Amino acid sequence: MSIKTNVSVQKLLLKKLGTAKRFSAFAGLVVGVVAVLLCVQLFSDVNDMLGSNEKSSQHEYLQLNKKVGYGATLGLSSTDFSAKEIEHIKKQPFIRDVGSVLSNNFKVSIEGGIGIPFYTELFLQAVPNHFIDIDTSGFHWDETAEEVPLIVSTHFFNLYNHGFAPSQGLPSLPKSALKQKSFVLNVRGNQGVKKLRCRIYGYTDRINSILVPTEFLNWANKNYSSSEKASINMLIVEVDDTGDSRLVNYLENKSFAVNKDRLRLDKTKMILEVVISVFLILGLVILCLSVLQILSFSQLVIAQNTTEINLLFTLGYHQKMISAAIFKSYFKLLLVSVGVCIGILDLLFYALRSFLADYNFDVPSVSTVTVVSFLALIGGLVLIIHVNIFRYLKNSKTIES
Amino acid sequence: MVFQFKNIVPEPLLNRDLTQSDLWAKNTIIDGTANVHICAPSGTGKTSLLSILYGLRFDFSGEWTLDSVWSSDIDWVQVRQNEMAFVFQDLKLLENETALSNVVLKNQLTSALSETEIWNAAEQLGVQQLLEKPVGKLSRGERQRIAIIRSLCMPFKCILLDEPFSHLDEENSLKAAALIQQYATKNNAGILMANLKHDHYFQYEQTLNL
Repeated sequence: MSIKTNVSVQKLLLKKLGTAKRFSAFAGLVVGVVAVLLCVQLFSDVNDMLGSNEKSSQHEYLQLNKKVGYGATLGLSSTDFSAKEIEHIKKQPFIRDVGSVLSNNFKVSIEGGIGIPFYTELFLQAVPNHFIDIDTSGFHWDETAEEVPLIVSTHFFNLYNHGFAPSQGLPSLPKSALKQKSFVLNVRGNQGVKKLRCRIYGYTDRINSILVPTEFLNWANKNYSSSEKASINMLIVEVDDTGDSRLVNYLENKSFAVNKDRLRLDKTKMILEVVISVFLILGLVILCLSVLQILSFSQLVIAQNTTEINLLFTLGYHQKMISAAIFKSYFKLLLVSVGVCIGILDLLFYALRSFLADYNFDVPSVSTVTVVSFLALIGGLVLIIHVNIFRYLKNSKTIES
Repeated sequence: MVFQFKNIVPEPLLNRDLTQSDLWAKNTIIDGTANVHICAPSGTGKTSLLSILYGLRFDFSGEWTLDSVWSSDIDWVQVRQNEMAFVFQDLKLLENETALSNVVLKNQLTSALSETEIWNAAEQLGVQQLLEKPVGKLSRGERQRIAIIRSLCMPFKCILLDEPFSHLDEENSLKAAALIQQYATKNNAGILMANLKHDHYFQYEQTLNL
């Protein structure tokens, strides 16, 4: 006759507990973990796609104008910023830096030359190089330079390609091809017309303008300007957070106009974050409840099995062996839950990504924050369950003796 | 394996007259490796004594040591796995488990007995056919024999017996006593037999009246 040589303490203790009960607790766990991690991932996606408030290296930039009223049209009030006003803006705690946007005080036009035969009047502006969001190491000019480098806003480039070029029978060009082409810049003023060669140096998303190096504009304003003084009617400001209510109020009070896109985007982001926060809180609540349920199960197991557990102690079982046996039964279910969580999350993330890809969003893959949160959640859970079993077992032992 | 008692009185006996007792409220030494008979009529604290010796009860006044270790400092897990076997008066078997599972639950902790040894012990006591039955379906006497087999599933220096043959007839009692003595001899161990009256199951070197 063969004799079985092992009795599973784990099975012994779990006999009385229905499997359905245990599974329901872990189903709750799966829902909670999935909800929390999905929210964490969405947070990081939203931050990646709409820009982050937190990253100190990524400050926000706004173009600031005075609102144009009838007074300005009639010449009664000025849309220029005085030195005093600029100082005042600079002093605001939510503004990190202010740069003046210089404008041309002379007439200027550009010709396409061979290949792109077009001619247009235009305006030029200049900002300090560190306000520009591309590498500006080659964005300089002096009188010996052969060409004037231009930085064009992507917005204008799109206007050219999708609006201007088709309407004028001109070819649409990719960004890189346009950079190869040199144009002719006609600068007109008191000293007559000066033809200069120019070339597109790069494209900016930050400033809606056509930028030339400050040195060039200073030189041209000095030599070709009709008026002595170079006026400043636009500022570029660097701020920590465009969603800052103090900033919004300040702009409102001073009747300053800004490029609103940025602000609108931030509002969208804020609403999104609120919605996600609500889901995150819901997820956390579900998670907490399921954890409580799981913990109460270990207490139930211990309470249901006082006879068995006391016998095990009496036979010489160590408390660690008993708590390990109880924990082991959780561990299996926990592993299954983790597997199910990963599966569901994978599907959801895949669906999310393809959904966003349809809207031409560049969607990042699963973020490190999500992975770290996942590991932290599971690790925390294992620890809590373990401590709980051990403590409860210790209590039940003292009751016995 | 020496038990040394210093004025031990269990709580339930606190207000009793204990002058007649050889052990309670006395300074006594018991050699655990010898065969000792504890003769204890009902209510004199027989089960209390064995529970105290096995670390299940701490509600007593006075002090006692096991091999010079204070009772509060004894590593009970180690003692229950390697030093002291116990046939409990209330048997302490799991009724929903089979007889064999009950035995294995102890044996898997110590790996003291082989499958054959368990089988042989069961055969010796005439319960080999009952091993696969749930304990709940066994008679009191059958359960007692299963509890005895389980108690032998460890290396021990002393085996505590709390009325181990109370539900066995004379023939089966003698068989069980022989089995216990066989394992005690193999382990070089003593037998601490607690019983209601004098008996002849073991050759006692010391008798204590509670």
